[in-house]
Amino acid sequence: MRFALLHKLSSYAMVSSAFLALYFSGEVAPHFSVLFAVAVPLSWFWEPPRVDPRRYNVVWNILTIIVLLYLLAEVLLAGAGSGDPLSLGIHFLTFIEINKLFNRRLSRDYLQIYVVSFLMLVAAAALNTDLSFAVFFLLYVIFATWTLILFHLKREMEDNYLLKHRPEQGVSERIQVDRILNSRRIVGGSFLVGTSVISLIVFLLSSAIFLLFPRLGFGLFVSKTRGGITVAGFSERVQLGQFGTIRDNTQVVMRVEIPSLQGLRPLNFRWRGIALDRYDKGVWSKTRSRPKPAAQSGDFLFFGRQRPNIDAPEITRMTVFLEPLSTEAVFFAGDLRAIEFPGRLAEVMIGKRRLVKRDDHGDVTMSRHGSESAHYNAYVSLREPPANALRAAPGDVSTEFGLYLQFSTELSHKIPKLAHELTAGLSNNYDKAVAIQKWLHANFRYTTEMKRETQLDPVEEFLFVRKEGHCEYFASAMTLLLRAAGIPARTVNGFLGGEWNDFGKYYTIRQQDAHSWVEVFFNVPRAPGPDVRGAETHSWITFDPTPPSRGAPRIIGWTGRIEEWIDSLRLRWYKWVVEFDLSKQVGFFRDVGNFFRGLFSGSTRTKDGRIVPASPTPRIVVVSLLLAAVIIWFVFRGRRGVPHPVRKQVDGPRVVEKRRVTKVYNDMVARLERHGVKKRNCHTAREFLGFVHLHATVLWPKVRDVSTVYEELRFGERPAAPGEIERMVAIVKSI
Amino acid sequence: MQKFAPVPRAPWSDAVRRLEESVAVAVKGKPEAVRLALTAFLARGHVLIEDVPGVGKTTLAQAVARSVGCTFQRIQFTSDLLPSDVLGVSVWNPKDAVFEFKRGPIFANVILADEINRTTPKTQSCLLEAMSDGQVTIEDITHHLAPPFIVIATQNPVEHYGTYPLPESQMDRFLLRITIGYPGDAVERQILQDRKSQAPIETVTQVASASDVLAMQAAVDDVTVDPSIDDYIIQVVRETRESPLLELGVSTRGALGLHHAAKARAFLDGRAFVLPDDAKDLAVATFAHRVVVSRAHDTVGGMREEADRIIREILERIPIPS
Amino acid sequence: MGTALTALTSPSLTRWERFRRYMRPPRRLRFTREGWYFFFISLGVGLAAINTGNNLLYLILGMTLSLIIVSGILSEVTLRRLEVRRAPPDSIHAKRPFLMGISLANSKRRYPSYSIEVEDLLGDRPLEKKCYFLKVPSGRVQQTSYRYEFPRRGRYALTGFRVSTKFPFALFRKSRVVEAPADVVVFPELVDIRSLLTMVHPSMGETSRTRVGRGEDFYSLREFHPGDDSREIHWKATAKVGHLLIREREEEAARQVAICLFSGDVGEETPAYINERERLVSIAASLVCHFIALGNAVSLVTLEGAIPPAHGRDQALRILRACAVLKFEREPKPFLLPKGARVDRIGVVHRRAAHLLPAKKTFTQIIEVGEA
Repeated sequence: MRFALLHKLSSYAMVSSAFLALYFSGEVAPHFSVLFAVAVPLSWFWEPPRVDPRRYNVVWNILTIIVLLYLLAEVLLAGAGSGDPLSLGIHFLTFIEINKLFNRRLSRDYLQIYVVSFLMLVAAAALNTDLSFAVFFLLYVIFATWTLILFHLKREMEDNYLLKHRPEQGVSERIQVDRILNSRRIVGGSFLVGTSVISLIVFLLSSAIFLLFPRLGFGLFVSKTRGGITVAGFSERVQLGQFGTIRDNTQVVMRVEIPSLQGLRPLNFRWRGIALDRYDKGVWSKTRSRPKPAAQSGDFLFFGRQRPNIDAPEITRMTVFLEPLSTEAVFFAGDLRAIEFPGRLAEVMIGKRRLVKRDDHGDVTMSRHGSESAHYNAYVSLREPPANALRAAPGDVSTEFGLYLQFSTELSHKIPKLAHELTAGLSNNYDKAVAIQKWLHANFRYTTEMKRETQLDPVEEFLFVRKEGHCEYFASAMTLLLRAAGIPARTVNGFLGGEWNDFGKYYTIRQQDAHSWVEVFFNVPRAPGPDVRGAETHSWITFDPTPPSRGAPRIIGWTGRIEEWIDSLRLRWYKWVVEFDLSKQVGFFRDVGNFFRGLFSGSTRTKDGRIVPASPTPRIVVVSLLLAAVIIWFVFRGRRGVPHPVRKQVDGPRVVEKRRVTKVYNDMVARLERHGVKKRNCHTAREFLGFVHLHATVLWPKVRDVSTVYEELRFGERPAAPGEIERMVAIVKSI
Repeated sequence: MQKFAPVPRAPWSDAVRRLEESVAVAVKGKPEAVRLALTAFLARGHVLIEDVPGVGKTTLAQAVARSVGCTFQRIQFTSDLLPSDVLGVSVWNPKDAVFEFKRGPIFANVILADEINRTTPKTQSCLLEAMSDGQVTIEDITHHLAPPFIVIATQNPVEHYGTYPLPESQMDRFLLRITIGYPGDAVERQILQDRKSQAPIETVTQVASASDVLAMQAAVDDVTVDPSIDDYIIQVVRETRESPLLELGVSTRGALGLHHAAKARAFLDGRAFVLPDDAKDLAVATFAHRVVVSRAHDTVGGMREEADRIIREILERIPIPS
Repeated sequence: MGTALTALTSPSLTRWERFRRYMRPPRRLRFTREGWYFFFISLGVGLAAINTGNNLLYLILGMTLSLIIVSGILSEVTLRRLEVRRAPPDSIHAKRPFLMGISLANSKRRYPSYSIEVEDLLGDRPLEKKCYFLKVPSGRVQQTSYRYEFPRRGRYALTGFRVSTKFPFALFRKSRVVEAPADVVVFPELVDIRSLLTMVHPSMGETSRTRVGRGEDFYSLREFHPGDDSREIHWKATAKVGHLLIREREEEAARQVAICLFSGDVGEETPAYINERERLVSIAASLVCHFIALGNAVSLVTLEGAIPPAHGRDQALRILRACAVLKFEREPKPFLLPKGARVDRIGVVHRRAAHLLPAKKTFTQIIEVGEA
């Protein structure tokens, strides 16, 4: 490929990678993106001698000023707070890059193009934490390495090759640099391979430095991501009928790793988000309560007075990776004992004190800047008190739970009547709740269709008219029935279940998993054990009246598998790169040490310091990698450049024959090379024959025969005798 | 091992072999010099031998002449040699009262122009013109030189005393430049011990006739040259012209010369086609005396070894046509 | 080949020194302008990364650092196992540009070297003439040359080469010094002396480059006497006249020429005087070359000594070499003039010293230079 062309291609690729890394952060305004996508290919052709860029200098200067003013206006007019200097910066950078690409003339211009692309990449690092950054970063590294090498060679040629000495005259004349730049001799295949290897090495080294560089800073800057995913149903007022109806929105809301429950399918956890206590005319709302900040013990945050024992056997650890959501809710399943924000504690506690709060409804929230992703370890207890204990719970409640008995006066009396019917004859709250749940399960149908036929209260309509609805209705109905029966209950919105991702070993919870259920109050200690004291003697037990049919499961075809794999990559990217911190570094080093110890001594040290025999898999992997490397090295040693092909001539039959003969001869040469006998380009066939006689005497007779025929057919006028060429081929194959 | 169809031999190969052997009898131990001389002869070119005295230059020329039954003349060039001594002179015949043109030594088939650098440029030029034109014009009458006609000129490279070395433009007229050199120890020993009463040159017999030579020269013209070999020659020539170490590269005459010489060499080997080896092996002998190595101060004396080395290096660089 | 250079052997190193040299060969690293920018940008990115804890910035920092590391390694590989040789011209004269051939050999087995710059070192300082090699494949030699001009005659010591490269990213230039000591003898400047030669002499004043010999141009006819060379009979003239006529030859001028350069220091070391002194030497050298080209036997006589007469190129080089290193003496020694009738003496002397020249009448010509 011609040198100048290769350099130009590489530069454009580098710029495109940087821009794409920035683009996928979502922060580039669409009109700028379109402008870039159109202008850049156009600028490819905008160069001398077709066009002289210098003539348009004035135009570009004016455009620059216009764009700058426009962007400034945008920032100022957007108002204080939502105008972002970084946004101005990246748009201006985009424009400058377009400007520079149209004005490519000197080496200096190219250098400026590269610097601007680097700045775009840095901006992308600040704005784009998605997996797409990884892809375009890798591409950028590769293309940047290529481009810098080519640029250096190009500049050196322009500087140094302008002179050719003529001894007679006193003046040295300029030779055509263009001729060299257009020559194909400078960059051959081996050069491209070499530079690719170099760029790969650069990438590997970058990764190594990334892993090794100690993370010492506080990390106070919070990574800003794209606009949060809108999730309905978690605000303080939820209109009945809007939540839980979207069955086909597969957007991922969160990913959860539960190490102790690998692959349990199906997962029936309910991820609690928000509890709503007040129902009025078709709207559930939450009564305000002063949230209390969490207490801190070491790395852990907890609520209540005493630090919970997270090593107790009933505590399950779940690592939750929330996508940036439009709600501040912290999701968890079961009873939350402690929460940990690995690596971000300083940010959570020191920067803004006590961002994590829990209110009296049991909702945990974390204040965030705008909307951003969150990552925390939730230590929960999944155990519920046994049914007997619940049955034995005293039925009277203190007034503080009066909230949860709220029953709007506008509701029909039929509801309490129904409640009494259903719970007739039952002595304790537990049995009553179970009865109501069963009844709803059996007699009502699940549907996501939203039909309103009457002007009644929606729950009434559900209970008495339609007898079908989605989870919100079921939950609301049960809550109201329970309250009518004098049992404190509340509706909870959250997510149900989750899909196991085998690649990343985590559960994926999506928008379509949104669900509503009921929590019922029982005056019983939640969990036995010494750490339950004080006010924590009450339990909110989960009931779910919605019948289990929830629509067809997603079909996993091979495209589904690929999507799963990409999703797991996303999580890994997030965990291991975006959230890489000091503790992870230490863990990584420990793992590396373990790995090598396992390799050499056959045993590894587990986390608690025990030494156990290591699995043989790493050894096998390493040995096979080494073997593969050796094989590749041998293959590359054997291959050498093919000699120049015969020049194009008028294709007569003799010419075709000559070419064929030449090919057979070259095949023989290639074979001999594999045996270690290398023919230099400037050796004639006979000289090579002599060489073979010296160095590979065994093969000499065969080589001589083939060479003789080759010489005669290639350079002489004699046409080939029938079968002659085939015999040549046979001999060559036998070498 | 498979046998291939036998190589169709050119009809002349036996005659050529006999010729080569015949000449080699007289010049022991120097087969390459013999081959080069015969190559030039068959290519209708002239030879310049640059060598130290006493290695057999005269013997070689004589052997060639005797082997083909051609006339042989030796011209010893001295500093006072006149052109008329070479070409001939009009002598007054008092009997017939006319001027008779007495032919000079140049009217022979094989001319040995010994120590050509000792004579004045004027005398040199008359010889060189005869070489290139194939005829001499004396006093407005043109006399043709009968073919085959080859001039074997010699130069002593070491001596500078009182010499007029040939300028490069004249060197171009010689197809090949060869050196014979001292024989190897074994051969030299054999020469000393082998002295019969007769000098080896006397044992050389005629193995072909002049008309045979003419026919062979015509046959050389018919040898096929693959276009890729011509490209190779042109590439080498281009390199010499563009090399920074050479002030003057090879001329078109030189390229043509290599073309013909390669054909003659192929013919000598008994082939009907030219191989790249022919061109490559002859390149140094054909080109080294035509190029001028860069110098700042142009003084007397050519650096032949330098030219040889440069051309060899160029050959190393250029890939052989495949 | 190459009479202008004599190579000196380098001192042998002990094994320890050789080992040290191999392990850590002396290199010099200098950042280019782009290199400094790149360094500061990396520093900026690094500080931003540490400060904000943004891991993606650490990735970018990793990229910049690894580019620097790879750059260092590759430039080291490029510079290893390179051999440089000079291919000097036969003779070098002051104030006359010459081409010094430089050949760079890459003796690595696998890797080519790209973008190499070679500078010749004169007494450890570079000559400011860079030879650039874009690509030298492995196992190959490439040649180029640089044009240089020495301003003054004399002996110069070339110490070696500085081989440097900016490969691969032009972030810095790594260079290393290859030792290749050689002496360069620069002959005096050659000037045009034909205008200075006043005597019309058969051997002097010849404008053509041909040698003197038995030419046919100048002759006269005389009667044939028995014993004359019968080859000299001019037949045409004889036919016209009727009796034998013979061509008369000019006498062969096998005369010797002795250039007598009076190398006594007669002035202060002012630039003007130094110029005049150099012009003396130049004139003497030019005369020598001129007469040797004409075929005469030439000798040189100076206050330092004399070089006996001889013909040919070697003699010219001998005399030129002597002229190159000639030093002017303050203490005038006796001037030993060559004797002989067939010797043409040409004196070259400074005007102020003209009176010191002995036996002026024996000189065929005296050339005076300079202010009185």
